[in-house]
Formats: sequence, structure tokens, C-alpha cells
Amino acid sequence: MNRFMIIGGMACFWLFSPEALTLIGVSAGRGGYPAVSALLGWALIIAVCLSIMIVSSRLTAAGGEDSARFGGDEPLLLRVLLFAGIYGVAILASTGMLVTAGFAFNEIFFYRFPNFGFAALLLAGVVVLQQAPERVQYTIQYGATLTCAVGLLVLIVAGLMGERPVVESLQSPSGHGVLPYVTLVVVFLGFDQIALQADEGDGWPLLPVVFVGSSMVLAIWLLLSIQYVNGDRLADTSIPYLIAAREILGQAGRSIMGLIVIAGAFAASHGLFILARIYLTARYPSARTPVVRRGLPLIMGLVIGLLMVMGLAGSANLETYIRGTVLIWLSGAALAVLRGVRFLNQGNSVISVAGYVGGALMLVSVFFMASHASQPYLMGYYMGVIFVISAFCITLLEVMRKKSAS
Amino acid sequence: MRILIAALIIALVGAFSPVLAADVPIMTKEELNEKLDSADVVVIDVRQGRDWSSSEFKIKGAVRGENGGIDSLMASLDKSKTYVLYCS
Repeated sequence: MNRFMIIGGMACFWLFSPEALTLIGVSAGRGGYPAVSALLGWALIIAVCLSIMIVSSRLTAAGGEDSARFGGDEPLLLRVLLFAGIYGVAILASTGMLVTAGFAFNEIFFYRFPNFGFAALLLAGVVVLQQAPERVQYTIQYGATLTCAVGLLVLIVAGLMGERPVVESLQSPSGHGVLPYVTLVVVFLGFDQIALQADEGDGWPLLPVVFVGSSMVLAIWLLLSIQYVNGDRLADTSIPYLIAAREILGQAGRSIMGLIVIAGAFAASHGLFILARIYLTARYPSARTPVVRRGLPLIMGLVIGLLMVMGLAGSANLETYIRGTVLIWLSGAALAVLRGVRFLNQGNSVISVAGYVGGALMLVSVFFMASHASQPYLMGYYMGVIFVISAFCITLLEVMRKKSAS
Repeated sequence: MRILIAALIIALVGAFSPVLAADVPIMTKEELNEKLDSADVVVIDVRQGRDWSSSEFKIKGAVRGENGGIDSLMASLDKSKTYVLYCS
């Protein structure tokens, strides 16, 4: 299996997802040009954090004295946070993204086909693909991610060559404070788990490079969104990517963006399914069985299908739930980075200081976003429930592991 | 094979769920288009969450349904007018 395909497909699936594109567009509208700098700043910070995670996880995988110094198992709190974050986002964000892809297909390509039906077919496609050999999974994952990247590049080239309309930025972007810049960290969600992909093979230095390169593509897209669409339109919509694509290339731009949204939703959902499996099998070797490999995605698919049928996508609370799980995952990722820096034990190096600063900034961002949530009580309650359920699951898995070891 | 069947069930449940609402009177887009300019016709967009936010299309002049449910919505409406509920 080509390492570049695995890295490319796994490093960028969230970056090109409809969730990230929405966040980028809304941040562009609310934050204006400084949002470009904020996105690139976060990209550099996350690239450093990613490199630290890669080096520490490779040293751990290599075994020996360093591995022992890492302390063996990760702390239980970290394990619970990552479990809650990964599985929560995999189920809830996939529900939202697949429904978004359903609307894109229905409204852009074939209006007679029910949007919900297309979302369900896409979900079935993800579950079926998870039953295929890993080589097939990663190849299609790479293809879907590449489709997003190429589509965005086509729109970017068209946007750079086209004539910019006269647009107005928001009169008072400062009304949103630093929130539009802080939330951009969510664009890089999942980097901590993607770092684990670098455990094998020699292609791992590619990972931060691909990550930063993709971030630069997104930064140019953010810049073009500001230049083609009025700030208030970008700030007040949840489909800013579609509006920007339409302004840049008309109906063709709309079709290209429709393809990006569908491929992006598929890649992101499938990528999250892969990360959910990796989380389990990397920590619990007894889970490396064909039953778990095939059964886990089936269970996740059924849960997502059930949530769709119950109408969760039509609930205003879905965004709050997704945000809650995203914050849990980010806090876990920040703690994982801080643990990685400590493990590398390079107290005086620039990388080490940057790692501490990056991890701390991520934690501060999580608290900041939580304190500015639109439904803070609902989100807090939900995060608490998810944490307790995850703690229960991890306890169960730990007991099973100890039993099988003894 | 069992997995394929399960995946198919997920797809079918989603694809044909609109059939469940088949006994609700439905107005075609042509019928609605003829009545859109009438002052006696009010279009209420009852889509919530992503059903509303992910959609590119919003009917001009439509009002958004509140979260309180259909009962509270009906209690607040002028009964002399015709209301068209728009959902996904």
C-alpha cells in the first residue's frame, strides 16, 4: 500500500469536510482578513504539535528504554476524553455531514431524489466499504479526499483569475471578538490520531508537510471567500462554501462545490470510522479480530441511521452536541500533545517550548469556545453525559483487557 | 451477506421514509407558485436544524416556524388565511 495514499487520505479528510468549510467561511465573514493569518497560525502550531505526536508515538512504537519512560499506558482521563471525542464526533458529525451531502445532491444534481435517501445511501456506502480489505478502504479514502482537493484547487484557480466583485466586509467584525479566530482550531481536529498513522513506514515526514500544504489551500479559499462574498452573507449562513463557489464560477462552481461536499462528507465519515477502529485496536490488542473490524462500523452505522430516522439532523440541538464532542476531543488532543512534549524531555529546545505553548493554546481555546457556546447548559449537560458513558465503556474495556491478560 | 443486507436496510429506511408522510395533503410546486403572490397565503418553513441550515433554497417571503411545535404555531395563526407548511 502506497504510504502517500494513506497519509493523503487520512491527513486531509477533516480539513476538506463540509464542517471545516463551513467554519472557514463563517470565520471569513465574521473575522475578515485577519482570519487568514489566524488559520495559517493555527496550521503552524498544529504542525509542531503533530510532529511532536509523531516522534513520541514512533519512539513508543520502537520499544526500549524510551518506551518504558513514556510510562506504558496513557492516563485513564486522556483515554476517556479521546474515546468520547472520537466516537462522539464520528457518530454525530457524520450524521450532520451526511445529511448536508444529501441536500447538496438533491438541490444541485437531482432534485427528484430525496435528500434523506441519498444521505442513507452514502452511510450504507461507508459501512459497506468498512467491510472491504484495508487496501481498498484507504484507496477510496484517498480518492475521495483527492476529489475535494482538486475541486477546491479548480475553484481557487478560477477565483484567482476571475474579476473580483465589489464586496463589503462586516462593518464591525470586532463585535465577534476573537471567537472567529479561536474557533479555527477546529479545522485541524483529529491531528492527534492521524499522527498514529505514521507509526509504520518511512513516509512519516510527509504528514506535517501534507497537513500544512492543505492548510495553505484552505487559507487561499478563505481569502477568496472574503474577496467574492459580502462579509455579512458569509457570517450569517451555514453554507458559505456554496455561496462563494457560486460567486466565483456560477452554476459550474456550484456543481464543483456540490461534488466537494459529497466527497468530503463521505471521506470525513469514512475517515472517522477508521479512526474509531484504530483507537480501539491500538489500545486493546484483543479487539484486533475480524468480528470487531466488521461489527464496529456496522453498529456505528446503525446508530447513525437510527439518529437520522429519529430526525436528529432536523433538531437545532445537533450543532450543540457536535460542538460538545469536538471540544472534548480537542481537550484530549491538547493533553496528548503536552504529554508528548514531556516524554521527549527537551526542556530547552524551541520545539519543546512551541509544543507546550501549542498545547496550552488549544486548552485555552477549548475553555473560550465552551464559555461562548450558544446553549452552554445543554452543552455542559451533554458533555457530562458523554463523559460518564465513555468512562463506563473504558472501564469495561480495561476490565476485559485485564481478564484476558491474567 | 448479512452485512450487505443490514446496509441495504439502512439505505431503504432512509430512502423511502417520505412515504410515511403520504397521507398528508401535498401541494405541488406549480400550485404553490400560482398562489405565492396572494396575501391570503402564508408559507411557513418548518424546517429546523440542518434540514434548514444545509439547504440552499429558501422560499421568498416564507416565515420560519418556531420551536414550540405545531400546536403553539396553530394557536398564533389567523384562521382566515391559507397556510402552506414547507418541510424537507
